[in-house]
Amino acid sequence: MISQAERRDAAVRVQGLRKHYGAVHAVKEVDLTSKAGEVVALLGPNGAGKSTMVDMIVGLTKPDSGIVQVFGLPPRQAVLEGVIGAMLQEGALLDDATVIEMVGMVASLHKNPLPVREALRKAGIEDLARRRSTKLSTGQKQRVRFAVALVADPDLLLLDEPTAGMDVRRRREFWHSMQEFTASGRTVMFATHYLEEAEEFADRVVFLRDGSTVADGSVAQVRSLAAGRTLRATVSGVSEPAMRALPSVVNVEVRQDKVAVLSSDSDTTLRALLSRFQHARDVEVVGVGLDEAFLALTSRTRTGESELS
Amino acid sequence: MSPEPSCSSSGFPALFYLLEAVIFGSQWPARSAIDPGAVLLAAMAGWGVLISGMLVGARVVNEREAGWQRQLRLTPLTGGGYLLGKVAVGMLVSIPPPIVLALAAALFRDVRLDLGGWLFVTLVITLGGTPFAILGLLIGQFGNKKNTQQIIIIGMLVLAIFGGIPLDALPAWFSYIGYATPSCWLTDLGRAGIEMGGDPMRAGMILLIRCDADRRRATA
Ligand SMILES: Nc1ncnc2c1ncn2[C@@H]1O[C@H](COP(=O)(O)OP(=O)(O)O)[C@@H](O)[C@H]1O
Ligand SMILES: [Mg+2]
Repeated sequence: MISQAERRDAAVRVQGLRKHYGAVHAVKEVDLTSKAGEVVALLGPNGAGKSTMVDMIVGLTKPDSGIVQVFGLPPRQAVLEGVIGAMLQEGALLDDATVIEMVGMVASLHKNPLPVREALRKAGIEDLARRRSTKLSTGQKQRVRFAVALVADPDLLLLDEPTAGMDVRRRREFWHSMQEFTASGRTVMFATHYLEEAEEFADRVVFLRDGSTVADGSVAQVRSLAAGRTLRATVSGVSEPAMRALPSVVNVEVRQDKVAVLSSDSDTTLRALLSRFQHARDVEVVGVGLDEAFLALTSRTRTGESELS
Repeated sequence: MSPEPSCSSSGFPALFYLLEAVIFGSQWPARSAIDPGAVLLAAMAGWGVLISGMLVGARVVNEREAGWQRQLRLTPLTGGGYLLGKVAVGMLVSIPPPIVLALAAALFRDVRLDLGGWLFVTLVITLGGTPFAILGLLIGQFGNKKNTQQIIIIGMLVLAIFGGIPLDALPAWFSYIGYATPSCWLTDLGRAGIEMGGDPMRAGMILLIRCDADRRRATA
């Protein structure tokens, strides 16, 4: 258990973190510091390097270079102290064991565990105690893994896509049971590829793409992005730089005469578009899905990179 | 054939023992000084212990592939502690089958041994299974779910060959030990194909029964 004084320290401090697998740079030079008590979302598409980050923070994967500290301790030390609880992305349940056996086994290995029943209650699975893991639904399995993570009574919870395979309602229930944990001032870092989940449940969102952080901001900033609109129009002789020069533009796609512009303030962008390109026709304004906004944001760097090379 | 938890249910070797004792008892040389029930008992006990030891490997593979080992690495348990625990479990599960087997031999086949003999077919044989538990563990650590079963089966065959003897060259009663091992029936089946010796029907049936029993227990 971490003292009050230590809690004021950074919960997670990551500096110059790198990891490659053969030619794949899974994580390249990531710096990240999360305050104690913060709920941070690691948001990114598949292959962005989220799991590699999580595995390095909990000490399962050794970084090529860089520093990881959890409440000032190296990861393995933090694990020994029972500071870290984690829900890993892959499996982590035994086929031939019951829920209470698995949670109990992990509890017996920790120094100061929660009572097993309490961990089950906090994860909302008291009624499943005697169930075998082969008889659990996807959502129930996730909750069991949550209980396994909680039973260490950790100060930091790392969750790698904890709601994968759950429908929207189950996802809400899951995050609801998480609130008891965060309400006690503890720190949560979770990986997800659902923008809405990051927006709804995190204090802070870190966008990862191709192993780098492409954005790091508060939920308010994410919301403004999500409030964006896409403008479509046919404009003969259009060029991408001309479109990018329009106000409030986040992203631009040009295919022959057709343009699609992602804008954070569509009214302003539309007025400017019509005054600068009076021959524009077939104009259309549609709200963008959160995922589309997220994709636009992350693919913007890709466009930037390819322009440079 | 899935070697999953073979012989972990203690009664199974005992059942096979009784079955095979009936089959071979009738073919036993009448003047032999040695009780067929006792010979089969030793063979079956060894077989059972060997398999339960090797099956630690299957268990370790499952835990690794299920991601459970990774979860355990997020606890203060060390890697060495985990492996030691597994060997201990492997030995624990191999204790009951020979005892049940010995009971069956004494009760149903009237096998009489001195105290040393009884200790040998139960505890000594179980202790002798330790290397197989460790071997199984190594296989489990380095194999995967698909190839572990094959590695274990091949490993058992190799063990049987190196530990084995040309059965025909030995006194008749000795070959009956061989009949209690599955690899012997495999050989018999093979021989039937090549030189029309052996009895393919009988060998096939016994192998099938065993495989089926193994499979059932694996899926139970
Ligand atoms: N053990 C591994 N061996 C080889 N490549 C890996 C391994 N783990 C991850 N990668 C690669 O690293 C990149 C990042 O993977 P990952 O961290 O799992 O991303 P995410 O969790 O964001 O989907 C991917 O390109 C993936 O293929
Ligand atoms: Mg992942």
